[in-house]
Amino acid sequence: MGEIIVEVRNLTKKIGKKPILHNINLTVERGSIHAVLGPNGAGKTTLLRTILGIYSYESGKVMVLGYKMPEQRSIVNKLISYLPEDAQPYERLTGYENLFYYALIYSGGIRETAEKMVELGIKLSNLGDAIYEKTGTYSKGMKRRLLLARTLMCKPKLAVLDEPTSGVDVVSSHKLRQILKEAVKNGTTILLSGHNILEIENIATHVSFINNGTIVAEGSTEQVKRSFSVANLEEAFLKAVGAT
Amino acid sequence: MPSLLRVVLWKEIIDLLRDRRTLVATLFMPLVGLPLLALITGAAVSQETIVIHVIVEDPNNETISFADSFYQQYIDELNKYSLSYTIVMTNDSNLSGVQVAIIFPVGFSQNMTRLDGTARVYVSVLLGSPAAERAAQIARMVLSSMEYQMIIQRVENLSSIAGIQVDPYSLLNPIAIYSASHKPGGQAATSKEVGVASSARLLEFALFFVANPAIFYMIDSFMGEKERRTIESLLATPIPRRTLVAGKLLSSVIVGLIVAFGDFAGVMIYFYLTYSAGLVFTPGLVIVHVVTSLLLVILTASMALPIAIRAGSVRAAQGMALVMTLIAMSIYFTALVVDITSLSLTSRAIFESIPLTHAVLVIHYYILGETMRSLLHILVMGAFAVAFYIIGTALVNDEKLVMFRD
Repeated sequence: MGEIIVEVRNLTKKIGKKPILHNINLTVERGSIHAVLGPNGAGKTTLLRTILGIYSYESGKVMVLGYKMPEQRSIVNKLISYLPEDAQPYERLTGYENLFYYALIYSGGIRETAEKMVELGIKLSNLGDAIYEKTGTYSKGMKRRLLLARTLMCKPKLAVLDEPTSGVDVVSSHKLRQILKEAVKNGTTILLSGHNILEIENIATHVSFINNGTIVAEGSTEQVKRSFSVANLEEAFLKAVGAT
Repeated sequence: MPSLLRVVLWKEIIDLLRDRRTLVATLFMPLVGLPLLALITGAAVSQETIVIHVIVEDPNNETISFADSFYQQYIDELNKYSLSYTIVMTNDSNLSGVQVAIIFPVGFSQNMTRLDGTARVYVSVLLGSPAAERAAQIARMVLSSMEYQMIIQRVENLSSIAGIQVDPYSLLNPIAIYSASHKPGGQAATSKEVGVASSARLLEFALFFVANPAIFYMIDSFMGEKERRTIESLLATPIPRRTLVAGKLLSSVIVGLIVAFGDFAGVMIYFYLTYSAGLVFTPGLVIVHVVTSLLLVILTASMALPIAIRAGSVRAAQGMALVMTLIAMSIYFTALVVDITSLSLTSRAIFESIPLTHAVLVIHYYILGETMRSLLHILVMGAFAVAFYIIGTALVNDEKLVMFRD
C-alpha cells in the first residue's frame, strides 16, 4: 500500500438526531482516483463533507494528509481543494474572474502565483474566449468544466469531487474525465463520489461502496470485482448491497 | 490591508456592483423616485380644481355686501396658496357637484348687526377631498379675520355708547404671547439655530434610509451565496473565517454607503420639495450627519451579520431583516416626534439598549451644543459594531452554512 492521504476510522456522524454515517472506515492512497459509490441518500456527500472538516462528527477519527480533521483544517485547506455536487460559479463574474478569485485565495493574495494558476485553469477548462464572458451565460457543462478547472488549477495534493460529472452531457463528461486523469499525472490524488457506476469505472483506480451510511466494500477496482466474482463494478455493487 | 481581505473585498464589490437590478431598486428608486413623487404630488395638487360656491341665502343687502367682501378676500387668499379653483357666488343652495360651500343663511345680517347676536356661517366640505379641506381651511381663516374686524367695530361702538376711551386691541388681547427658544445652558437660541434644530429632526428621521440598505447587502453576502450554491467550495479554501466575514462586512458597508447616500439625497430632495418651512444646514451639522451615517451603516451591517450567518435561508434572513427594519423605522420615526432624552428613565433605557438609537443621540446632542455627549454616543455606536462583528465571527459554523434545513 502507498502513502495514505485520507484515513477514516470508525466514523459516526449524525445530522440532528438522525444517524447518517455508521462506523465508517476508509483509506485513500496517494496517486489514486478513489471513488465513493452509492445510491442517492447513501451518505456520500456527508462523508466527503466530514472528511473536509465542514461537518463535525460524533465519534471516530479523520486524518487528511496526516492532519487531524477538523482540528487542523486550516493547514489542510491550503493543500486540498473541493468541488461540491451542486456548486455554481459566481454568475456575475466572468469565467476568468472566477478562476482568479480562487487563485488569489490559494496563492495567499500573491498576484504572480495566482496568474500562473489561472493560466493552468484556462487550459484545463478549455472554454476558449467564453472564459472572458460572465458565467451566467454558460451552459451546465461549461460551468462544470470551469469549476473542475478551478478545483484543480492550484495543483492540490488532494481534490475532493462530489459527483463531478452530474448533470452534464456525454461529451462534457468525457472531457471532465480527461481533466481528472491529467491532474493525477500531475500528482493530485482524487477522492470523488458518484452514483453512475459504469461511468466511474472508466477512471477510478479504487472504490468504496456505501449504502445506508455504511461502507459495504472497499479496495482497488480489480480487487473489488474479483472479490465478488463479477465482470464490472455495477454487478459488484448490486451484490455488495444484496440487491441480487 | 491584509492581502486576502483585499481579495474578498475585490470579489464582493464586483459581485454587488454588477447586480444592476438590486442597485437600481435600492439606489435609483429612492434617489429619483422620491423627488419624482414630490413633484408629481405637487403637480397633482396644483392641477386639482376645487369647485367653490359662496351661497348667500339671506337676501339682505348687508349680508350680500359682507359676502361680497368675503368673496374678494377669499379669492386673494386662494391665489396666494396657488390653488386651482372655480368660485361662484350664488343663492342656489344645491350642493351637488360642489366641493366647498360657504353658506350665509337667512338672518345672517340681523344677527351680525346686533350687539348680542351671533351670525352663523356654514362651511361645508365634500367628504374625502384633501384639496377641499385646504380650501375650507382658507375660508375659515378669511372669516376669522373678518370676524376680528367686526369685534373691533363692536368694541368701538360700545365704548362710544359708554362714553369711555378704549383701545380695542388691548381690550381684546390682555395677554400678548411672544415665542422664543433657548439652549440647555439657558442662552437664547437664534432663529437660525431653531431652523437647524428643526432640520436636525428631519435628519434623524432620514437616518432610517441610511440604515436600511446595508442590512440587505450583508444578508445577501452569506445567505445569497448559500442559495446560489457558491459558498460550500469557498469554505474548503484556506481563507480564514474572520477574513471572509470582514471582507463581506466591509463590502456590504461600502456598497451600503453608496446606496445610503443616494437614498439620503433622495429623501432630502423630497423634504426640500415638500417641507414648506425650508431646511437650514450648517457645515458642522452636515459633517456630524456624514460621520453618523458612516457609523450607522457599519453598525447595521454588523448587526445583520449574525442573522446573515445563522438565519439558514434567504427567506428566514429577510424575515429577520424586516424586523430589524421595523425597529429602525420605529426609532427614527419616534425621533421625529419625541425627544428621546426627555423620556422616563425606563423608556430611555429601553431605547438606548437598541444600538440604532445612538445615531439619533449623536445628532441630538450636537444640536444642543453638547459635543462630549455626542462623541460618547459615537463611541457607543463603534463599540456595538465591534461587538456584533465579534459575535458574528464566532457564530460562523460551516455545517450550518452549507446545510439546508427547516
